[in-house]
Amino acid sequence: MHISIQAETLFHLFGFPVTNSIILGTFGILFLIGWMMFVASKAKRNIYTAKVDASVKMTAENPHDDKSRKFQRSLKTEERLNKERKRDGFFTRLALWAFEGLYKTVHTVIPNKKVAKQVAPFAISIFFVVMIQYYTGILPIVGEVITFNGTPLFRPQAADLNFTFMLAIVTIVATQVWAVKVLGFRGNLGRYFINPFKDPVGSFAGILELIGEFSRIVSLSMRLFGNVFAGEVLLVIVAYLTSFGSPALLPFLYIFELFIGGIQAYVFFMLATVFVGLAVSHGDHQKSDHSAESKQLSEAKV
Amino acid sequence: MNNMISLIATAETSAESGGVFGALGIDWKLLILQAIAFGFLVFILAKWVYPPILKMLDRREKLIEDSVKAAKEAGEKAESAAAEIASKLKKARSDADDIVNAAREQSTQILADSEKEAARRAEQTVEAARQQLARDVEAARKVLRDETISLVAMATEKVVGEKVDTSKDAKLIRDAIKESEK
Repeated sequence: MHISIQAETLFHLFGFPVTNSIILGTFGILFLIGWMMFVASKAKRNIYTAKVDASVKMTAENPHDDKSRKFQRSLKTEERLNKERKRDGFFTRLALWAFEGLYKTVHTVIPNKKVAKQVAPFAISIFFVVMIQYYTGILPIVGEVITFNGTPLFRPQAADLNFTFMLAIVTIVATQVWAVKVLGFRGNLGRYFINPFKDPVGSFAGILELIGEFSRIVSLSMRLFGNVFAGEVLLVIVAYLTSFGSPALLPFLYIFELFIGGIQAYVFFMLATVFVGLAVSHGDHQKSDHSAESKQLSEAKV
Repeated sequence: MNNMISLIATAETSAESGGVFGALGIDWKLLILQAIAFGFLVFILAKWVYPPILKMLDRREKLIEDSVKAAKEAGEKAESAAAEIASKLKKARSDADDIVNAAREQSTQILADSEKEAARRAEQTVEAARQQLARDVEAARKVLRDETISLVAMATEKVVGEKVDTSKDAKLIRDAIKESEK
């Protein structure tokens, strides 16, 4: 059994250490880009929004008049569209469905439409990238199955703290950027530094908020890393302990891991969205007595 | 298990060299590389993947809105059509009632008229027949009278034996008959 907390360097390329997590992560990103491009090309075609003339549909009774022939034609079109939609495949439709749901979630969490439109691509990318890195991490080729100079060739990208740390830092930095954009530089500083003579409690809360930003980085990155790392270790250990019985048990754990992967991706996405939403609506919730914040938090919990 | 020990050992050695971050394998070069990769991914997705999907979603939403509107309109149209049909039916029914009533009235009128006419005509016929009868009776009576006169004349001639003047004869007989008629 070979368990390493950190991603192991396989070789150096132009001074950059190429770790085993980067190898799998690159595959993951390339696969994600290819797949999303495929989904986008499907979405470009008109099959989900083709119009079937409703008025023709309703008035067709006499089989010989012109409208009824039109109705037959529209029925045929609809059948063809349904077939094409089915041929699109479950996963394409799943991606479209997920995209739509996430997009709507971003818009409900961030009431400011302009910001929501900017945040949506970023947050949805986080969701998809976390999910794909989680799912490539539980492929059977990961781990000690394929080795390179004694170290595993593939390691889940999300089990590399560099990746999760980077995602968390990018999320928090992006939150700051949007907060400055909406509240202004001074307004953003006003979230953390409040005059203690005017509002002593608020001043203390502001400093807590500042510490909170750093703790968010740690919590975001450690949560994802811990889940992926523990998931992989769990699979390996269960495989070792049950040895020949593992084929009977491992599929259930794999399904469980798939489930956790979706959950973690959604959690990361939701937290990133809520952080931006909270930062952006800072000016509002002083007037509306924290209702926006509590609403967003309750939505996040759901 | 040996590997586990080696893991802890490596962690300790790297901890010596790079602190906590080193122990966890966090390397600023790799962090930057990851950030660039993520930025690249977001850029590609935001430029070529999300816009068409969003456009599709917008179109679909519009389509759904349109069809809901169309369905609503159709429902309203059907309702108004039903109301129109009901009113037309009502009107037709009342029209039919009027027509039937008028026809009934007319038919009773015609019946009464024809009855009256028939009665009148029957009376007329009876009257004509009566007159004819009277005329016939009168004619018969005249013929009978003439015949009687000539018979009486003949009988008288036979009895008397001589022929009195014919006109005298006739006068006598006519008087006699007049007397008998009295």
